[in-house]
Amino acid sequence: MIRESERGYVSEIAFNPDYLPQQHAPDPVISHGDPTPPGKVGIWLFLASEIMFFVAILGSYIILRGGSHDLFADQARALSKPAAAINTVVLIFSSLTMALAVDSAQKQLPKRMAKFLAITLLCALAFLGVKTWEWTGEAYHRTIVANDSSAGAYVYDGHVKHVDAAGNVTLEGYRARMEDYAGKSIGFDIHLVSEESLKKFVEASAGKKVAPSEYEIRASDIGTQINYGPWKNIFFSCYFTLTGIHGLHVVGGLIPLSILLIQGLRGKVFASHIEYVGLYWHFVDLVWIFLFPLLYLI
Amino acid sequence: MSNPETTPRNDEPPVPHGARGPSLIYHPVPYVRIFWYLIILTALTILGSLYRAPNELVNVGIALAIATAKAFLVVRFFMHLKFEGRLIYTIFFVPLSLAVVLAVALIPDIGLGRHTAFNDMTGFFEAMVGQNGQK
Repeated sequence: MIRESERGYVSEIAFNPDYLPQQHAPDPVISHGDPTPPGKVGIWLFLASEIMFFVAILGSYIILRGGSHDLFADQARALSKPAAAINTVVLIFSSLTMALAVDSAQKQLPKRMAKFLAITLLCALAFLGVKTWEWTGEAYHRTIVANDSSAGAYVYDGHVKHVDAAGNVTLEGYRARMEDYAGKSIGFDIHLVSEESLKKFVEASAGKKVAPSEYEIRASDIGTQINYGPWKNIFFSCYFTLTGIHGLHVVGGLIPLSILLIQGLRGKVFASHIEYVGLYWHFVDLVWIFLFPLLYLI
Repeated sequence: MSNPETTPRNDEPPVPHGARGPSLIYHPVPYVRIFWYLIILTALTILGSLYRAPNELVNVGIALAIATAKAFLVVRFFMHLKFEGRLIYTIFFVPLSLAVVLAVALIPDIGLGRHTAFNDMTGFFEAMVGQNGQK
């Protein structure tokens, strides 16, 4: 509850970018004599909790991967490495522009700061754009078990090119006869089929390299089907959880970046605030530095 | 324009006890050079992934070692940890150490051979069916 007598003081702190805390009190109690400002201690404590949060998820991922190595290595091949590499460069570049924005703010150069903040913001949007493209590709990737009365049951895996109003699917990928692929094994599970495993099987049967083909699958023939979402298998559960949480952090960074950019365009420089947002942004980059090899490369 | 938060006023010392000035002291950092180091390390990560060691731990170790080197550069230079005092170092390294302990503490789950992952379970059930069939 703010007393009437304190209103002026509070508004001065909250809305005045030139607020000087030393004018009111050297606040030795708040900082306990340490020259580090409380805001910086706050953001580092927040990042410390974020470290624990991400290590818990990444640790679980590593353990799950260790337990199902073949499945993870097989399923990870469905991901786009070039897209992830581009995103890595984009995020590292955004870290550079963010550091230069902080540098400009410390030198009290609002125009230069706004320019670098704008580039950082564009990089964040580019990162999210590439990620959306990746996720869309996975949403259109399907495993289908279809039973054609004349040819028998087939398992398909590939990219869906088209689905018509009646539910007939045009898919580009690989297929194998169920009887040959799964035999009488009770271990066949649609969740574990991947385009890579099907390709290997088809190429081993043919004894040569086989390019993906286009298949028309009638809706009435489709027995079961599943697309590459978090429900596909444990690898995709991990993948969507990790990239989803990281993506949310990128979205979370867009808000303060936009506010500081608008203020910068108005000629205002909040040097401390930009430094704190910069710390957060570098942390988002830091998480991706570990996610990129762990999800896409190993 | 001078920085108002580091400018001494009246008869106060330049950096008053407990003041907020030092965080805004300008530190020259070769940001662009650090950026290129990070790009080179990213290229190394991708090239390293083309080499597949028979032991999975080696592949993971190489990937994590390069990622740690990149993280070191980001934290030390972009996040200015190099210029921070003991307090920020403590806030950063204590949870990081605990987090590493947490990750390592999970390893016995695999190390002790309790493979309960789904693809292992499939093999387990198939073996069970085989045994029952023989009976």
